[in-house]
Formats: sequence, C-alpha cells, structure tokens
Amino acid sequence: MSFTLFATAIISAMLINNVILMQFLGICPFLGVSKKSSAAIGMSAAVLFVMIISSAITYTLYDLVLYKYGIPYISTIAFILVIASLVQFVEMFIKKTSKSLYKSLGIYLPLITTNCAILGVSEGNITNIWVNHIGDYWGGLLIALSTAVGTGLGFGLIIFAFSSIREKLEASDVPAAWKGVPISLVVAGIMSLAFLGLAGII
Amino acid sequence: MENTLPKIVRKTSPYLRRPKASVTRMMRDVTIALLPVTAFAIWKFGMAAVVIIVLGILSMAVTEYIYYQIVDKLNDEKFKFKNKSYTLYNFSVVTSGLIYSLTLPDNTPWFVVIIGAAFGVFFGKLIFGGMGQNVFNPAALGRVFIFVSFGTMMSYDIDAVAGATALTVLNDDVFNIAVLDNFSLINLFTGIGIPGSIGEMSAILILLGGVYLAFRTSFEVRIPLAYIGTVALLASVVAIYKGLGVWYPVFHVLSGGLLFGAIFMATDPITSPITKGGRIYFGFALGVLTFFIRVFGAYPEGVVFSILIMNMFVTSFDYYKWTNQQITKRQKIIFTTVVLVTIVITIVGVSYVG
Repeated sequence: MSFTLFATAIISAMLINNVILMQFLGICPFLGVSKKSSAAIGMSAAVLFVMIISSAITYTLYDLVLYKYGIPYISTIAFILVIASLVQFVEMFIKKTSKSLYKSLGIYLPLITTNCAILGVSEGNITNIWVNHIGDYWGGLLIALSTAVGTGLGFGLIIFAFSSIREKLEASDVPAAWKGVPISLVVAGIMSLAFLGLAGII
Repeated sequence: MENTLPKIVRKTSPYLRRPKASVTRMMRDVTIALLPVTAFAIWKFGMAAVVIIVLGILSMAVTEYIYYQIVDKLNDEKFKFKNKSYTLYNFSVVTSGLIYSLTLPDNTPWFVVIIGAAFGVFFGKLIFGGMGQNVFNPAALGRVFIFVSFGTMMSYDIDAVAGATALTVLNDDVFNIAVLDNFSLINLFTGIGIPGSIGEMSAILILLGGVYLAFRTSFEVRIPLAYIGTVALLASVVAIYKGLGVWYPVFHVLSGGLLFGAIFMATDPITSPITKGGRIYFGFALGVLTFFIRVFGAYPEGVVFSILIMNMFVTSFDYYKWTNQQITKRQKIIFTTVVLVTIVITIVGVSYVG
C-alpha cells in the first residue's frame, strides 16, 4: 500500500483505460453535453464529484453489508438505488445551501444519476480491486477513490477536447449530410483509434 | 439592408504571417525537403519503394478527385475537369501522400497502401471540409488505421539482421546494451544497413530536409525542437538512473520514426497549435507520449500514435481562455513544474519496469 499504487490507479483510469474512449461508458453525456466547452467543464466537474462520493458509498456498502450478509448478487440493484437517492439528496442539499454552486454544478446532477459511467466505476471497483484486498477495508477504499478520481479526470479531459473540436467544427465547411452528430461520431471514432496506442503502458 | 452589413471573412488555417508566405510555397518546400529521403528510399528498396510511393500519392489524389466530382454532381453543376477545391494544385495532397508512403514498411501489400491512403484522406480531410479545416493529420490517420487493421501484413525486410527493427528489439528488452551489436549508431545515423520503414531510416537526410525548411521559414521550428528535445531529455534521465551511458538517448533520437515524424508530420500547420507557448507544450506532450509508448507500451513505436493523440488536443491548446502569444514568467514556472513532474513519473515508471 504505497503512494505509487494510487498514482498508478489514477493514471491508468485516466488515460490508458479511459472511460469514454476505451470502455465506451458515458457516451450519452459525451455526445449530449459537448456542444459548448463551458457546459462540458460543468458536466465533467459534476461527474467527478458524483463519481467520488458514489464509489466511496458503494464500496463501503459492498464491503460492510452485502458481502458480510451473503447477498453480493444484488449489488447492481443496490448500487442503482443508492446512487440515485444519494445524488438526489446531494442536489437538494446544494440547492438549499449554495446558490452559486447549484448554478454551476446542480443542473447537471440529475443527468448523471442514472449514468452508466458512474455505475461502471462502482462495479469495476468491486470486481477488480475488492477481490485483491479482502478484509482490508481502508486500502481498498483508497484505491476505489483513486480510480474514481482518475476516471472523472479522464472523462473531463476527453469531453473538453471533444467539445473544443466540436466548436471548431461548427465553423467548418463540413458537407451538409455530415454536419452535427455524424461528424462528431467520426471524430470520436478517430479519437478512440488514437488512444489504442496507449495500450499496455500499465 | 443585409447588403450594407460588413461581411466577416473567415480564413482557414494555415494562418501565415510571414512575408512572401503562401500555402503553395510552403507545401512545395516540404515536398522538396522530402526529396532526398525519397531518393534514398528508392535507392535502398528499388521497385518496392517506387510502388508504395506512387500508389500512396495517386490514391490520395484520386480519392480527392472523385470526392469533389461527386460533390459537383450533387450540387447540379456541370462536369468540369478542373475544380478549384483540388489541393493537387498547392501540393497539399502530394505532401500528405508522400509523407504517408514514407512511413510504411517496405513489404506492405499494394491494397493496404491504397486502403490506408483513401481512408486517411477521406476521413481525415475531405469530410471535415477539405484543406485547412481538418482536425487530424491525414497521413498519420491513414498510417494508424492500417497499422491497427493490417498490422500482421506489414513486415519489414529481413535481409539485414535479426529480422526486426531497432525499436522492436528494444521493445522486448528495454534497457539492453546488446542492441548496439546489431544496430550501431553510425548505421542509424546514415540509414545504411538497417531495416525500417522506407523513409524513416536515414537521420542525416531527414535533418537535411529539416534544415532546408528552417532556412526557408516554411515550418515551425519550435515543435520539432521541443519534441526531439523532450525525448532526448527523458532518455537521458533514464540513462542516468539506470547507468546506461550516452548511447541510450542518442539511440532513442535516431531510431524509428522520431526525426521524420517530428520534422514532417508534427509540424503540419493545420493540425498544430497557433501560439508559441501552445506549440512548445504540443512538442513536449508529443515527446512524452512517444517515449512512454516506446518504453512502457505494447507497441514498439509511438510516433504516429502520439501525433494523432495530440491532434485531438490542438483545439484545447488554442482555447481562447488560456491562449497567449507572450510567454510570461508564470507560464515558465508552470512549464518547469510540468517537466519536473514528468521526469519523476518517468523514473518511478522505469523503476517498476525493471
């Protein structure tokens, strides 16, 4: 359990196993909220925030409740329920306490409650990390949190690059049939092709 | 009323400021700078190189020709033999085709050459709206596409030694001085007697082309300097850490497609950032990615991959909130921090690879 382990988890989740380009999770916000860079930044901040709290909660739930009482097979349902209610609760809390934070972050929160990227990170935590750290609750939790931070940062990096490319494409003479979503999908495919080059670094 | 409004004329990149600069002059210069490398490839590989180069250029030009003919047809215009959109006239498509062909191994089958060229120019350039509007480098895109799709079909000529290129040997055993037995540095420098892609072997001829372009001010010197400098810096750090000696950074700079990619592919004015600081960061990031893919990654060579990866971040480098033509003291401090962090990550990574 050392510092380099967490750094490796962050870099691996951020670049090498990028959540969008390598695992193909979270495609809906990737295509839906990437028309403007400012919206993309707000969205990725919200994703990072939700990812961190949800993976902490779901890891704890799995480790201390589901596994302990022999019901790990309902993890998916339990995670969906917990994440959805938690995010709704956080949204209400932010709305009551901080108006400015709600304006920059809150409007994206309902969009992410049922996002596959969040659930994917939670499930990935229990399948990859948990098995190696049975009984070691704090170590596993820290790795789960690093993975969540890395995934959120990777999401933000890619969605920001993609949104600035889309802003440039708005002004290009793209043929009429390819304008809008089709050319964005082509760009996304080429980005995924390029990220193959990073395979195997960690 | 509408006619009295001032009209905004949007120009596409390359944005040239220098006197006497034009796209045609620039692209022609790149083609001239590539001539020694092309001649060396033809001298070394004979007909194989001629076939690859001719097919690469022709299929790019023909794809573009057919595309614009179809566009004209769909717009109900009369058939014209010539069209002002053809980038054949300003050497752009010739340059792309030549660069693309020179990155290929000598045993590439002819249909793979054609598929890669057509894919690269169509998905890399034409559907983005043609010259000056593409996000990705067409040559790099075509090369990566066939590398991923037909990787096993593109073998290197095995008449020289061990049957592998210098970097393939290095990929299997990262820090072994024994590679120098088969690939001496002088051979890597002149390009004689080593296998490799047809245009990437002779370091001295590539540098000759780079010097010519620098004197004609036809390319941006900062990108290749930052790129090659970063690879040399990181390789030196590794060499000091592992006690390898001075051959290791020199080997990394001379072998593979690094010099070719840095001088001819990364400097494409359309797919590189606009500002000075952005260009230095661009070159630095290319160097880091190339070195990491070579040392830690599954693929032996990372030049085209890193160029394609960094092409997608070019618009982020040019984002209006942090673009600045002046380089301030604060930016220098940030850049130094980034370099130091990268060096630390490299050392930690190398200590794990062993």
